[in-house]
Amino acid sequence: MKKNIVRVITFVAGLYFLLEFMLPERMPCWMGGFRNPFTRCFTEVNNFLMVLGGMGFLLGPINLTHGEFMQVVRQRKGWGESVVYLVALVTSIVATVFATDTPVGAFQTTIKAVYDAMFYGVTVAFGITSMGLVSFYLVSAAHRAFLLSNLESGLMMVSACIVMLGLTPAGDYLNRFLPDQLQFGAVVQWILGCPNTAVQKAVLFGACGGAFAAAMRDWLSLGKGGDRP
Amino acid sequence: MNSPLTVWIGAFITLAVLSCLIKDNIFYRLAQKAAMGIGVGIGVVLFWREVLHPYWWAHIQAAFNRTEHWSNALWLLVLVPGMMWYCQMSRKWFWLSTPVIGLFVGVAAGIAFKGQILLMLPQLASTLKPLNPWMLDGGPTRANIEFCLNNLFFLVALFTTLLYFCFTIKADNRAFRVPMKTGRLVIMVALGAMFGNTVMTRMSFLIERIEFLSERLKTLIHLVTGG
Amino acid sequence: MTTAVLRTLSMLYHLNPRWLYLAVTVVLIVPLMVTIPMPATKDSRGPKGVYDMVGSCPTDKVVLIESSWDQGSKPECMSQLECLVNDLCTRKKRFVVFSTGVYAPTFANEVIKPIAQKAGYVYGTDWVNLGFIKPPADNMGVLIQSFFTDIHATRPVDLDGTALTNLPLMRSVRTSKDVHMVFAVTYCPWQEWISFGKGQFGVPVAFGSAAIMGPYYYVFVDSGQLCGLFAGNRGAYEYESLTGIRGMGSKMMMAFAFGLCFIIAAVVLGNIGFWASMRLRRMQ
Repeated sequence: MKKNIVRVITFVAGLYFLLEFMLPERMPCWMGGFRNPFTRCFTEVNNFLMVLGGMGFLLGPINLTHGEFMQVVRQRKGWGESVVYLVALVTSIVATVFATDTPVGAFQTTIKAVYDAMFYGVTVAFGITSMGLVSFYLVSAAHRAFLLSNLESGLMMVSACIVMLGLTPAGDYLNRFLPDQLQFGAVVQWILGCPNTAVQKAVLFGACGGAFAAAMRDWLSLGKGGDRP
Repeated sequence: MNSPLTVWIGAFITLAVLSCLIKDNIFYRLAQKAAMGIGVGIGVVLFWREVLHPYWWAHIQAAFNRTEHWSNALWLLVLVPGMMWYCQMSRKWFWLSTPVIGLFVGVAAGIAFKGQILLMLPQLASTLKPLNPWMLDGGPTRANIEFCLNNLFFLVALFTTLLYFCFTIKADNRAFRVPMKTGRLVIMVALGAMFGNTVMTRMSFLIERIEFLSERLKTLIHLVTGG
Repeated sequence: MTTAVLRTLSMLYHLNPRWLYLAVTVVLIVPLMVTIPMPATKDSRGPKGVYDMVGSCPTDKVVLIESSWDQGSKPECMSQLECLVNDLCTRKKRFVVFSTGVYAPTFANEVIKPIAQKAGYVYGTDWVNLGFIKPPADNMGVLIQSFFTDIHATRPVDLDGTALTNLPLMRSVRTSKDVHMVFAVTYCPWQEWISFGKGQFGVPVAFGSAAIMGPYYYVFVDSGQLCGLFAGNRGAYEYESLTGIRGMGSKMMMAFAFGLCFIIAAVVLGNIGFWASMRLRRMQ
């Protein structure tokens, strides 16, 4: 019974959007000439879904905070780091609530300074540096793993080197020694526009078929499970 | 944003993260936890301020203050399905969250049909490229012949790639061995291009951070030398 | 080749990666400290498409910018947004900004406010920031359709909570007919802009993405579904060459050249070391 209710809800939700797409914007005259009723209320449906979807915004924070809190309560290994997380969480909530773009007075100025230090000093710096770490690993991977052992790996290496040189001023410098058709810019544009586009298009066609099948399976609830935690 | 406190905290966090290249250490883990806590805290408040307050709570408040139509108070009812999200955290009441999840699965599936059709039809149309230079404006000029040869190469690359990913055909099938090998070579060229672009993206983060640290180093040298 | 030479060369393959990390850091510092003249560059299809589309924007329409990047894609997307906004302000085109990421409006304002102020742009008359609009359950297609059908109903207030009806610019911007083009700048712009924005409403769409996504989105440039594409910093650099306004895109390009040449050198050294160690093993 419970599963059937969920299936009906899923089906009806998908049917709304399918009918909204398939029916014309205005019905033909012999059908009454009225506007597509599903399109008329689309904005209200969007706002409802936005609010309903947004209501679950605390799911992730609650799970994460619960895990860190239990780490502290049970004094497991690394519980000191969890204390840092909890302190940072509470401080950032307080700072964000009271921070304002135009602080007036000592309290607001202090709160703004704390907010800026936390957001720009910690979160932004951490985010950018973490992403930058990968480039170090890329260097060591290029050194150890990019080996010219057969035609395929050689092609991949040559293509990568041409694209890397062509996308930077190094390629622009070397262009003086090359004829017009073999200039790095032209070769890179050809690699991206011809073989790369062909491969990406082929992958896209396959992915589209898969997306259709997955959408059909989800809409008709043909998959297994989903009703148990 | 550019206050000395913010900038120097940023420098310290950057060095703490980079220190994990040498070895995993307490500074990196502390920086990670601090960033997590701050990110979650700021995100929660901003989400309420930018989404739930203007789209939901403001209407309810306005309805009770009689500045909007009373029917806006019905937005309160959204709390019922909204709270069902949190039933996922309980084994006993998990089943209560499945209707809400099912609703959004249905929405995603329904919108996916439209999205995929509108995305793919122009792609299919653009695959039909001209191969006959005599049919083009100006006839078989050098540029037109090169254009058609390029299109032929494109189509061969496309179909051999599609064939390579067609797992219902065995790779050692004699008729398909050459096309599949061609497909693999074309895929390698594309992967090389993707690697080149991947390096560009990752390098940009590193260059930005190194520039940031070098500015801090210059400031430090100025402070020490008094120059 | 003697065993000693081969043994020395094979050490290149077994190098401790931490030496490589140090070397790449030193190599990247050099172009940031020393000014090296940049050669002339040729424009590619992607940035040129955006430039032409921005230029053809009529006075009664706006450019819609979806700026959803945050610290995870700041180095690339910041330069892309900066060069576009510089161009819009120089050519006196009005624009509306919104984001689909929680932190993104802050980052967008950080870039846009100083440029707009310098160009004498008035907030509310020449540009507006609508703030964070959450796609319902990450279904951007639903949001785009609702947005382009009725902007005011989808987002009644701007970032600061001001009603759109109180902003002079937004009184005349209500549906997709008032939008000349969409420029989505983030790490991986929503593909739904292509299917819904361009496919359903016929609004030209351009992307500013991380370089890593460039090869994927090139498919849509080829089919005409995207009118332009900035793939990473290179896109911003080429656009700055077109507009003549140098910014962050050009600043980092020389460092890229050094970094990528170092990677090519690392590949060559790794291959030499591998070949030498294979040769040594065969000899022994």
